[in-house]
Amino acid sequence: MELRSYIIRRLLLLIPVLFGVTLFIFGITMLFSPVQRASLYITDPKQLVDLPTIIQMYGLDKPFFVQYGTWLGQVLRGNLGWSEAGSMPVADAIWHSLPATLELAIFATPLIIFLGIFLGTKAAANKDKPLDHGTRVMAILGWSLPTFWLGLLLMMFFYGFLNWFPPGRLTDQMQILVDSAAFIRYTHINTIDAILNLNGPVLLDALRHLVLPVITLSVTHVAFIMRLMRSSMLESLGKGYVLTARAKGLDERVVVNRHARRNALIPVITVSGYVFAGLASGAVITETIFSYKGIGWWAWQAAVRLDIPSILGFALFSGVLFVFINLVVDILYTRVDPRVRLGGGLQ
Amino acid sequence: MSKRIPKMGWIILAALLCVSLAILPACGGGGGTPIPYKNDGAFVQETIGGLNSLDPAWAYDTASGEQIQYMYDTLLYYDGNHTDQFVPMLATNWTVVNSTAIKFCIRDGVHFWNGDNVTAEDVEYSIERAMVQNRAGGPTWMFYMPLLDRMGSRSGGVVVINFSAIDNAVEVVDGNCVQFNFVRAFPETPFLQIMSNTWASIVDKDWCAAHGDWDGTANNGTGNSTMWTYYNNPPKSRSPLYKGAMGNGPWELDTWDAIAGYIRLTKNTGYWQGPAQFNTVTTKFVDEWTSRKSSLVHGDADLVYVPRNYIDQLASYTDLNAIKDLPELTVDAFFFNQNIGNSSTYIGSKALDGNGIPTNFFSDLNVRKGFNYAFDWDTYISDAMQGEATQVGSPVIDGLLYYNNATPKYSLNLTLAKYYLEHSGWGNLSSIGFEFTLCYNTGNIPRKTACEILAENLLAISENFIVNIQPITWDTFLDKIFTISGISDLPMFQIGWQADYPDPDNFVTPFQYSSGDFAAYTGYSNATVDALIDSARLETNPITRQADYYTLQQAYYNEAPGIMLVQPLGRRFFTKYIHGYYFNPVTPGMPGPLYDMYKSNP
Repeated sequence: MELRSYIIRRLLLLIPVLFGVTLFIFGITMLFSPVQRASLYITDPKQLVDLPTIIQMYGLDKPFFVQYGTWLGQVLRGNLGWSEAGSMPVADAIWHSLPATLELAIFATPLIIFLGIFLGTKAAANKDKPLDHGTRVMAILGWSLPTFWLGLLLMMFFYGFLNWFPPGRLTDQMQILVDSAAFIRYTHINTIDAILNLNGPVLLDALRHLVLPVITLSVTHVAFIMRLMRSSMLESLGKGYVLTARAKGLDERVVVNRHARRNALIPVITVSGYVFAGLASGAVITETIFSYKGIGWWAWQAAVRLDIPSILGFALFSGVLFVFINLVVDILYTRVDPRVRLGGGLQ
Repeated sequence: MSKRIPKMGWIILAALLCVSLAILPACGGGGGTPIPYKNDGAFVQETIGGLNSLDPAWAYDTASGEQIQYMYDTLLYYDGNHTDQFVPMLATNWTVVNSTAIKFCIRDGVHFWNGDNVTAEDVEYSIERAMVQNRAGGPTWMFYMPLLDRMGSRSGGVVVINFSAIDNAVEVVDGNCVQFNFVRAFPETPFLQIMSNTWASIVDKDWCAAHGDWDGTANNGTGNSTMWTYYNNPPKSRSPLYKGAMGNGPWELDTWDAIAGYIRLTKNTGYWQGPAQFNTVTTKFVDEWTSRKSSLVHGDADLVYVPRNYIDQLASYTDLNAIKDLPELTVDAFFFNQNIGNSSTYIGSKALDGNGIPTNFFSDLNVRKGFNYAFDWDTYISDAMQGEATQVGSPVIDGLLYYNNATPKYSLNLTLAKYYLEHSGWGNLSSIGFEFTLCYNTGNIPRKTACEILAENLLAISENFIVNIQPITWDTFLDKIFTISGISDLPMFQIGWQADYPDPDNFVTPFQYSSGDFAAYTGYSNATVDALIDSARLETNPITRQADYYTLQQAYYNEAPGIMLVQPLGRRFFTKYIHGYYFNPVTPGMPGPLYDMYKSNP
C-alpha cells in the first residue's frame, strides 16, 4: 500500500478513536451525580449554599446527551472548555504543561533505549556469565522499585543531603531570567530554549534539574527494554545466519552488533515508541515528587478534582498522541523489517 | 569456562544493597547543619495547593487572598495583631454618620502601579463591582448582608435586584469620600472587619473598564439598562483581574504560572508607605513534603508549609525559628443530623432494633448530650493535634469578639454519657442498642481519629453501641449532604469553619441558625435562637451585643446540636534570617503582613 494513502487512512481513524474515547470517559463521569461533579467548584463549606446555582450554571443536571452534545459542539468550534485544575482554558493548559513533560521524555527516552539496548545486548552475548546475572538483578530491582520510593530516595540523598540536584525546573534566579524580556521563549523547553538563546547558565541549571527525574523515570523502563532486548538477542543469536557468520570467521563483536542486533531491535523499536508515548503523556509521580509539573501532574489534578473538561481534554490529547505514535512505529517497522508491508502481512 | 560468583557472594551483594538502601533515608541532613543565607532581598515560601484567581471580588480561598493582600490595599486594616482595632490605609479616617451610614475619606497621593491616582470613584467602583459580580460561591455576600440586608443579587439563578440598590449602597460624597449606606442599622466593628479583608481591595476603575470589565454604569455604555447583569456571576475568565492585576499595594504582579505552580511579585517602588523590604515575593506550590523540607533547610525557601505530623522532623534544626501556639480562627465540630434522609444507607435498619437508628434519632437531647460526654478531648488533642489545640465549647471561639471563656464545656465522662443514653426519649439505649456509620473526609487523619475516639468510647459504654467508620471523598460528602430530597443522608458529619471576619455572627450563623450553612443539613431549628441571632447581628450597642452572644454560647451548650471539637494552634517555621513577623489570625496565608518583615544575615 502506498505510504501516503496509508498515513491518511490511519489518521482518519483518529475520528472514531477520539469519539469513542471521549464518549466512554464522559459516560463514566456521568456516573457521578450532579452534586459530585459540582464539587470541582465547591471546595469549601462556605460555598455549600451556592451548590444549586453552580449545578444550574454548568448544566450539570442536564441529560447525558445534552451535556455531551454541548461539549462536542464547543470542541468542534475549537473550545475545549475551562480547566479549573490549570486556571486557564483546557487547550492552553495542555499547551503550557506539555513542554515540561516533553523535556523529560526527550532526555529520558534516548537514555532508556540506548542503555536498555546496550545492557540487553551485553547480557545476551554473555549469557549465564556474571554480567548476565548482574543485569538480571538490576532488571529485577529496576522493575520492582516503586517509582515514588526511588524518587524520594534520590531527592533525599542528592538534594536533601548533598544539595546537588534540586527539584523544580529551574532555580529562582534562572526562572527570573527566563521570565524576563531578555530571554526569548521558543519552545518553553528550558534546555532547548537555553541553547537557542545561547545562555549557558540556564542550560546548565536546567540540566541540573533534569538529572533526578530523568533517572527516576528511566530505571523501570531500562529494566524492561533490557530484558526485552536480551530475549530478542538470544533468539537472533540462535538463528542460522548467525551461525553462518561465525563459520565465516567474523569477529564475535561484528556478529553480535552488525548481524544479530539489527534483527533483535525490531520488537524493541515497537516498544520504544510506546515508551516515548507513555512518557510524553505524563509521569504523575515523578512530576509531583520533583515539582516538575507537566501534563501528567495536570491530568492527575484534573482526575482528583473531577475537572471533567480537563479530563476530556487530556483524553483527546492522549488519543491523538497514541494514534500518531502507533503510526510512526508501524512505518518504522516496515523500514527495519523489509518483510513487513504497510497495511499488514508479510512479503 | 565461565567463572561463576558463588551463591554466598550474591547473598552478600544483595544484603549490602539492602543495608545501603536502608541507611540512605538517614542521609537527610541533621539539625546541626547550618542553613545558608540565600536569595538576599527575596522572600520565598513553599506551600501546597494553588491559586484560584487574583480577582479580589472572586477569590474566596486563602492562597489567592494572600497574594491579593500583597498587591492591593484596602481602606483600613487590622492594627497589628488586633482583630477589632484598625489603622487607616487608603482611607485617612472613617466616621459613623448614623446607624445606617459610614463614611470613609480617601487618602491623597496614592497611586496604582500605572500611575493612576486612587480616588473615591475607584473605591465606589471596587465595592460596586464586587456586588455586581457576586459570583456563586464567592465572598461578596459579605457586602450584601450589611448593605442590602440580603445574601446576594439572585434568587433561583435570576438577578432580582435593581442596579439602583447597588448604586445607592455606595456613593461618593464630599468630593473625596465614600459613604456606605445600610438599609438597616448595622454594627460598626464587623463592617470594618469586612472592609479590611481582601474582597474589599480597591482596584483601578479605568484600567478595569479599559480591559473589558464592567464600566461602573447600569448600561455599561450601551442602550440596555440591564447590561450590568452581563457581569453578574460571570465565567472566571471574563474578569481581566483573574490573571492580571492593577493594584496599589507594596508588590506588583510579575509572573503567575498556574501550571508550573508559582507566582512572583516584585516590589512597588512607588508604594505610598514606602518601598517594602523584600524586592521579590515568590510563592511556590510544591505538593511533596520532602522537597519543601529540603528547600527550607538548604535556605532555598524562607518559609514552608509543614503538615502537623511532620513537625518533629524540624525540631532539631537550630537555624529555624519555630513560632508556635498561634490561635487560628478556625474550628472543627461534629454535627448531629436530627432529620436524616430516608434514603440514607448509613443508618442500617432505620429502626432502633440494635441494627440501625431511626431518621430522627438525634432529635433527642439526651442522646446528643450522651454523645458529647462520650468524647475524649484530651486524647484527641494529644493524638490528632500533637497537643496543639484547645477545646471549644461553642462556635464563638477565642479571638472573636464576645468570646466567653466561662461558657461551660462538655468533658469526657462515660458515667454521665451512659446515664443520658439510658434515659433518652428512646428508652434505655444500652439495652436496645444502635448502629450507624460515621464518615470522615478521606485522608483527614484528625477527623478519622475523632471518629475512632467517639466509636470506641461508645462501645466501652455498651457493646450494643456500634459505630462503623467510613472514609468518604469530598465529592461523595457533598452528594450525601445535598440530596435530591434536600435532607442530608449522613447521620453525623464533621466539618470545619474558618473566619471570614472575626465577628461572632460569622460563626454563630452557620452553626446555630436554622437557615445557616450547616443547619439545613442537620434539621436543627430553634426559633428563639434564630431570633436572637438576627437581633445580635444588627445590634449596634456593644453591651447588648455581648449579652446576646453570651446567651447564644450558653444555648449551644444547652442544646448540643453538635460536638464542638477544637480550635487548632498554628505554627510557622521561618529561617532565622527572617524578622518582623507577627501573627494576626485574620490575615490570609502563612507569612501574614509581609510588608513589615525583612531578611538579614545576622
